Amino acid sequence: MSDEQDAADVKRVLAGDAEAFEGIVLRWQGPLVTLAFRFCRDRHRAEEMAQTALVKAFRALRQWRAEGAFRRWLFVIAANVYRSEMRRHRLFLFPLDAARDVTQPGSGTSLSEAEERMEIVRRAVARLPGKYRDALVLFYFHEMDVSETAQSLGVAEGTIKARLHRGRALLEKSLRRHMRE
Amino acid sequence: MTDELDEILMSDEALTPSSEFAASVMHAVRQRSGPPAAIRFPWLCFTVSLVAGLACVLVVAALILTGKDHGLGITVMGDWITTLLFANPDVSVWAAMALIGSLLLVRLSVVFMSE
Repeated sequence: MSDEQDAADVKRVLAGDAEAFEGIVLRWQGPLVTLAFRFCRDRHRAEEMAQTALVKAFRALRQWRAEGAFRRWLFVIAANVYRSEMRRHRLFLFPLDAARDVTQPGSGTSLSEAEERMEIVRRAVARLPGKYRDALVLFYFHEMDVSETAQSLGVAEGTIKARLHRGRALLEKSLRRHMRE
Repeated sequence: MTDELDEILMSDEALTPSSEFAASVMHAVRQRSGPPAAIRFPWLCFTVSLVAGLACVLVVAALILTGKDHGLGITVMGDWITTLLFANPDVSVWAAMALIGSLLLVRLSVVFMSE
């Protein structure tokens, strides 16, 4: 259903009705902001990155081939935008220790110990070297689908598997070091 | 530990964008969907430059033709340019090609700017 709606909206936009893009924005804003947040762990920045991705998709709409899934095409663009933004602003990543200062979205209350531990793990992923971070973030975002992850990053599935393996090893090492400190 | 990592990373929550997000994206989209504002041709600069250029050419031509350059060496320069252009036609060809090349580059940059 979503594929048909996307295709119809794209057709209207290409025919000159820019307002039809709002349908695409409303359908995909949640997943795009969520994915951006998993890269940067900062809500405000995640929205900025998602907006950049959507505007870029709008400008590149003519390049979408209707025979492919719009979702896949959109996430390839988003992944590229997010990776490039992360390269540009890598210094702004929060340190792992700052996870305990995070409050639960909406509630304003502090995280429980278990939640704090989870946040530390997620931040540790965001701090990995780019190629391992990208593979891990997209792999879990695409519900552990290696093929989808490979398509989003434009690399072979074997490469993704190797990066996931190495990325997990680096993550475990980083977390062990953090726990010892 | 890997299973635990899988569990933690899979459980990362989905975010709901703020209420202004969609409006903000559509605002950015509208700004980019209209035709770009036409860049006005700089007629004033063009006219001033043209008049100044023509005046310079006329003055230099007059000095060369009358042979009176008041010690500025313009007549010598005029002779030199005349010799260079007419004694060696290759120079004229190269000069013309350089001019055409420059015009093409300007045209290309205008095309890329408008895309």
